[in-house]
Amino acid sequence: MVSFPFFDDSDATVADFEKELILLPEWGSSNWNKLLEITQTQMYSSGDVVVRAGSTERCLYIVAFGTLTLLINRKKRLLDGLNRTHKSALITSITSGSVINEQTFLDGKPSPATIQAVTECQLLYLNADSFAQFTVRHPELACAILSDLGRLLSLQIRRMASLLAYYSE
Amino acid sequence: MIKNPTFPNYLQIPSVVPRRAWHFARLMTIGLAYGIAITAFIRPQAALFIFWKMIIPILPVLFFVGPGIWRNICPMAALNQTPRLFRFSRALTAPDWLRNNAYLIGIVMFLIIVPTRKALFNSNGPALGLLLLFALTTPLIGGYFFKGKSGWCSSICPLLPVQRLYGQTPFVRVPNNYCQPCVGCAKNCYDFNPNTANLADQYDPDRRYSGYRRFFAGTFPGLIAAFYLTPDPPKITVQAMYLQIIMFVLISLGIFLILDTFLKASSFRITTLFGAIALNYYYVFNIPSMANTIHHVFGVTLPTWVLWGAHLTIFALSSVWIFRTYRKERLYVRKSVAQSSEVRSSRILTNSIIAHQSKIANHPEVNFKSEGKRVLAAPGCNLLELAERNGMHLEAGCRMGVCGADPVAILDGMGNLSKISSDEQSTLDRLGLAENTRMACCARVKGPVTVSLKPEKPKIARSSSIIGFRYDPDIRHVVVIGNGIAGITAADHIRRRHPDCQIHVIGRENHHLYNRMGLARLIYGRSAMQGLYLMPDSWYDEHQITCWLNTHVSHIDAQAKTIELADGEMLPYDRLVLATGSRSTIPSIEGYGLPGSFVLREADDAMQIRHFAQKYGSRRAVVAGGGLLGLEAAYALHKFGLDVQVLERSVWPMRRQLDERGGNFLMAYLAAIGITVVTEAETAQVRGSERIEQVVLKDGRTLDCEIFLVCAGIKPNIELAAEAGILTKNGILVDDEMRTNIVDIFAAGDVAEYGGQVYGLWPIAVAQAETAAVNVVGGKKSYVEITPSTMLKVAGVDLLSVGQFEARSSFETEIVLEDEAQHLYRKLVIADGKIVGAILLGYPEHNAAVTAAIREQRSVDHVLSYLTAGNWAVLADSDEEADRAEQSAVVPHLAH
Repeated sequence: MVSFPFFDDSDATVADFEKELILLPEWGSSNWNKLLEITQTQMYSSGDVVVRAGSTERCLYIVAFGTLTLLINRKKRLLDGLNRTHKSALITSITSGSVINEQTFLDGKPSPATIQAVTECQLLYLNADSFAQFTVRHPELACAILSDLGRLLSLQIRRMASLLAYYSE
Repeated sequence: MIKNPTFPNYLQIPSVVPRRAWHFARLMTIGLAYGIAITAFIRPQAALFIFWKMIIPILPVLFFVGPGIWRNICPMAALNQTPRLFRFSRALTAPDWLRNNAYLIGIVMFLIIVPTRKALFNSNGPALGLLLLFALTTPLIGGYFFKGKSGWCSSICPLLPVQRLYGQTPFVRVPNNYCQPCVGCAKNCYDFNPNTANLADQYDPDRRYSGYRRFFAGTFPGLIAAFYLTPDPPKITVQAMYLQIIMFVLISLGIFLILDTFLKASSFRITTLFGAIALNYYYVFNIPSMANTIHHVFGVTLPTWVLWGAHLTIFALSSVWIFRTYRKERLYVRKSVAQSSEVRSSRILTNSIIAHQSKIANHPEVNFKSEGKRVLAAPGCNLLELAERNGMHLEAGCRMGVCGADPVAILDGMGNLSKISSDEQSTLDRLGLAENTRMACCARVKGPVTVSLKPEKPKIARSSSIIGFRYDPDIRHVVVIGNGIAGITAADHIRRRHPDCQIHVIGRENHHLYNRMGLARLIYGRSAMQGLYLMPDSWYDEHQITCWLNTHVSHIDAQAKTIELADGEMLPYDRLVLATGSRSTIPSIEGYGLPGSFVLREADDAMQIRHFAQKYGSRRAVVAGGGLLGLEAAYALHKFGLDVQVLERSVWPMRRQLDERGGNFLMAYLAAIGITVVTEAETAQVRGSERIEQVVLKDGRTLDCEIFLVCAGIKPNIELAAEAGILTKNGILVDDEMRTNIVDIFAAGDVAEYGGQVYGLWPIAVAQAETAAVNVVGGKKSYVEITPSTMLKVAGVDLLSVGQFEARSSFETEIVLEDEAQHLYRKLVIADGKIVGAILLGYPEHNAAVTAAIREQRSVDHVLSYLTAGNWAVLADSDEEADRAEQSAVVPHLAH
């Protein structure tokens, strides 16, 4: 648990930051049940790769239970000036209740990180086709999801910008 | 699993020292500590010298280089952990006041003990003895009452602030050997993760918590300077000494606060800097003192350069330490930001997930081994749908087990899948794969299954020969014109029954048999023909079939029983099968043919559309024809990123498969995903200068587009047959043995007209080709008309239309159920107590059962009330029905 002196709101605590990152906090169970109905349940064992770095599959995962890790390929700048893949580095742990792969879900661009199961995991999977179906059947809910994902990504970008500003000082 | 964690915890740090060795070392240090304490009463000067001159000066550098060593052998820690080791600890959780203030207590004790050294402990043996006894007894008591290290080591130990500051970036990582398992007794535990403990402290959201650490770091250099620069009593009074020390401490703290306020660096960096200054300052005074000690004990006088070397070593080490600590902070912040950027679910979602999990708890698990995914299968779901819904790529075609596009290997649990139908079995025989193969679209999951999406080859080549079939040995040469599904099925079934005859298959296209129903994928997919071929290249050789690709037949001589190829070559035949298929109908449209005009019938058509759209950056497309192919093509173009409008002559799309209500439902659904169907629209003209720019409708409306795709139906390729004198109408006229009017010439598939109908459907083509093949080799088989069914699957549209979709008389009834908001529509047409037709929009789980009920002509009289009420699960096929009946006596059986 850390505080973030490099963010504008320096009085905010981690709990405040985490609270901001909750997907659709105002939704009730009836809305969620509609979404969960179109999800698929996937299970992974320790060591299984859920999302491989570079994957462009437009899908979203909700971690029902279990712990996963987010790994990136650490690049090493060599003497010849080229960046080369060096080895995987652990960025963070992901626990139940997290929503993952939202960037690739929205833009279809390669996932920057590999997500790997650390323990036995159960994930709820939602891909673009299922979401298209959901969009047709519940356009207002789909709109709310996309809008909130946009808000969350915007928030993440703001935080990254603050972080960069902090380090560039 | 994670070989190089950024911040390894104590379980991830390799241990090289055996546990017994640590126990032995602890016994030694406890003995030494008690020995010094007792000696302090008996021989004070010796104890004071050993403790203050020999042991204490070593500790800072030990904390700095290998703090884990000290944490494992510290006598206070050893005594603190003794109750736990011998299982007499009460292991209580420390009260809140202690947890909140423990570190502060440790700092205060340290700040009191250090100055008091000058006034008391440095010179008074019994006082030192008492101090040591206090320092050895308190941890033991703490260990007796409190769990883990919360009674001393990780709470009130006065050395802990020094250890956390100096030991935050150890040069030698030694894992904690005590806490197995970790009981979570302390926040940001140093023993759990020595690399992040101090960082986590500094970045803690509780300002007091992090403030204590900054306060200590801020005072520390001042305290050390004061200790060595302030004269000992009695040179000055005790009060003056304390006041002077307090002044040093306050100056140090003031400098820290000024730097923290004005320096463009994190507080953590300033604390690190102050830690390094404190260490260097300490050894500025202590290295000469240690040299004196060495001289006193060993009689050796160290040369000046050794002392300078020692100073430089400390300076170099602390410089490297600062660099490593700063770098570590970056990694830590990056990791923390990543963690704090995770999108989280609300408590309500969490509860909904728990409720959802209990609902699906009984769903069988399917392990897609080749993909590394285990998924739960909803009732009635087949392997193809399951794979698609879970993001796995599997080719799909007819979705009825006929085309052979989706074979999979069942590695385990074959008995937990629905039974193999005759259509599927026929396809499996044609493919000739291993015994464990199933067509994914037909295999509905009833229990746990392990699947590989890569079908296996048989260990011993499978023979699909029909043993005992009495073929006509006089038939030596068979020619099949057409390399589509009808042609290949005919050739395959001829070979199964006749092992010796020569079979020539002549194909106009330059591809082997491919999945024509997957054509649209060629428009938006990037893998071209990969995965679209339905047979391996070797299939023809293995079946001793000569295949002619990219070859045109110019003439059939029915008298001479020969065919002439376009290159002049002649092939004789005893039997000839015409499976020349059909081509796209192109209505008379002024301007059609301008670049940008397309049809979609063959693989090359689809690839040309993709090429054109990419080359000219097309943005808009108009598809003329709202039939099945037109809608599939429209979806493919939509998925490729084009703005698509579909022109439909009538008032709803798929007029031949849907009633008006169903058509309107479909239209609304397509509109919602971005495909507009323009009804009552016929193209009069296409315009453009170099390429198509506009479509003009007969009613005068105009639509801008760069691509104009005509999907207006098919026209059988009958010209070759007609020229040979074979009777044709819309197609080649055949009887129920698929014979044409000319002896020894047969026709099947899209080109054949049977009973006044040309269907253009794969399952019918397959059935006709098999019938023709049996009769070609001397057998006798009549074509049994099968109920045509059509399936459309695009972006969530699961549409099935089977048989007669509207009641034709008052004796026939309809059951119609709809949910407009959900875009769900279903309909059954019932005649004489049997279902004769159905439309299902958005009910894929009922597709198989409804199709089977219609084809098997089951009576549904007994279950009409269930069907009317919407409980169509009663239509589940016989094997699943039996399973259900065992579970529930409520649902009645269907009569067959």
